[in-house]
Amino acid sequence: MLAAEACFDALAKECQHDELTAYPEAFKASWLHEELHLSRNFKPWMAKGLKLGSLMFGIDQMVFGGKAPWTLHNTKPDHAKLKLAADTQPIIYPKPDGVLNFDRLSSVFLSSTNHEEDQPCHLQLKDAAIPISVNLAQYDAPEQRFCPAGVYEILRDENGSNPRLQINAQNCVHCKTCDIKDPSQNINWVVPQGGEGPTYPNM
Amino acid sequence: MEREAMEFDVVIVGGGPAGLASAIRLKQLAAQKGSEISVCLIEKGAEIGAHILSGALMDPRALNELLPNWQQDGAPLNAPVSEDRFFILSEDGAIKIPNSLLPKCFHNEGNYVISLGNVCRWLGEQAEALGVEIYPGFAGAEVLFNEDGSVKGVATGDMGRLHDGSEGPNFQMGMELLGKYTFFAEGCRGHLGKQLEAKFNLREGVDPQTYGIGLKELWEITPEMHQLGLVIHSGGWPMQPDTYGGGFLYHLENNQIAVGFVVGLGYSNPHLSPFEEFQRFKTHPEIRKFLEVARSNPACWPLKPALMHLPKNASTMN
Repeated sequence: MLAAEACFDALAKECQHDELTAYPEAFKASWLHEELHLSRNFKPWMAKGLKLGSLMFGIDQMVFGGKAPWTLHNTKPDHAKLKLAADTQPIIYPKPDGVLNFDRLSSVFLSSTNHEEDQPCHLQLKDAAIPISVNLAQYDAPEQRFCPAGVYEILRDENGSNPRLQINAQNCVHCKTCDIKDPSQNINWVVPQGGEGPTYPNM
Repeated sequence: MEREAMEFDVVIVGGGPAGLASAIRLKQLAAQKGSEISVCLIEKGAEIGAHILSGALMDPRALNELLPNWQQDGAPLNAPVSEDRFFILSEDGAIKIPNSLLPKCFHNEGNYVISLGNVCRWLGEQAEALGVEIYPGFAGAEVLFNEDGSVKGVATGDMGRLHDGSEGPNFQMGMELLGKYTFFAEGCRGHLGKQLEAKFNLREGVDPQTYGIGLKELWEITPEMHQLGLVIHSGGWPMQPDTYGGGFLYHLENNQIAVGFVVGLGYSNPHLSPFEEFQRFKTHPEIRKFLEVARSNPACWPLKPALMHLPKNASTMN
């Protein structure tokens, strides 16, 4: 809405193709900015753990009403925060029972996602070797787990050798987690053909 | 072969709440001032709302400003929040945090439980009625630049290219949509936005963006367990205390509930699976008691960013 107002004023002055500086100014003066400002420390505090985070955000909100004299900063992008597989505990998840909890593929089916298979892959690898040489070797191929749609699969020969990454791009639900979380930033999400992807009726 | 080009005053990439609200506002202002303005909006989903997935709780403040008659005009905000509950979960226990101790951002009085997809469909109808040209099924594939480096518009993707990039039997070349101004309203990790951030150094001097992945399922439950407008949030189990995230369970209209889970993508354990954390979350006694009948439509979506991670000129509905 604010961008539209800035743009409309600029068009009325017959401007075009320039920077709409009135937009960020209007945003800074808006109630939305104020609202976001008051809760700005929520995620950074919670990133310090549930107990300490709750306590400190509680003080931030209850004592200072969101106007605390501090702003916590995030210094690392999400993809740089993964530890090595060898330094962390594996997590054992229960098997889906088909009643209360489900597997990825039945969930993907319900999203009605669809992509023409014969098209350039919309999940591009900058370097085809990295999924095995770095991601599998150091992080146990986390894309198998952070992708909610089972797009990334490590396949092996019957004797367990020759690991390789298979990309089931037709399953993609366009959440872009791979583009964000790949520790090597080797996956580039681009748009597939228009009209593809999930078809949510009321989500 | 040259691409066909069309010219507009404003080209908008993305038919979510931000793109649609800006389209509506532009047309409203033109109508108020008695001027003409051409606005084109493209959306990569097959229809408006097809790629929209959110919890969702909605504060109607921005909607009151944009379309004050939304109630008479049938906006799908049908479940006013009736109660907030916040739990810290352990494997089989739950501690309810008294509402008096919850910060303001966990108080939802005056908000609505909505399907953001349906709200976007409704916004799309309002936009079309005002004369916005909406083209669903067209993906913004490429940013086009003027010789002076400014943004000239976008090109939609080609259709019918084969796996190796060659032109197949149904090949159709994309189109150039040129605007005096172009709005990128792709969501929080737009692939064109990513290129623009790099080209124009839009992230200079701001913190790295943090993201979350949300997963959600819609369930229809027995009426005895349903309480219209009940909002439940949780922290704690099944995730480790050092991992940011939590669950939600919202009671919509028609005995439906939206149950979901959010995992901050700043997690450190590469063995973590957000999808399976969500599946495990549903087995908690405080959650499973609601899940009695058949489900439909689980899915996943990226969350909107918090304030200090917004890149310069980020778009929001406001």
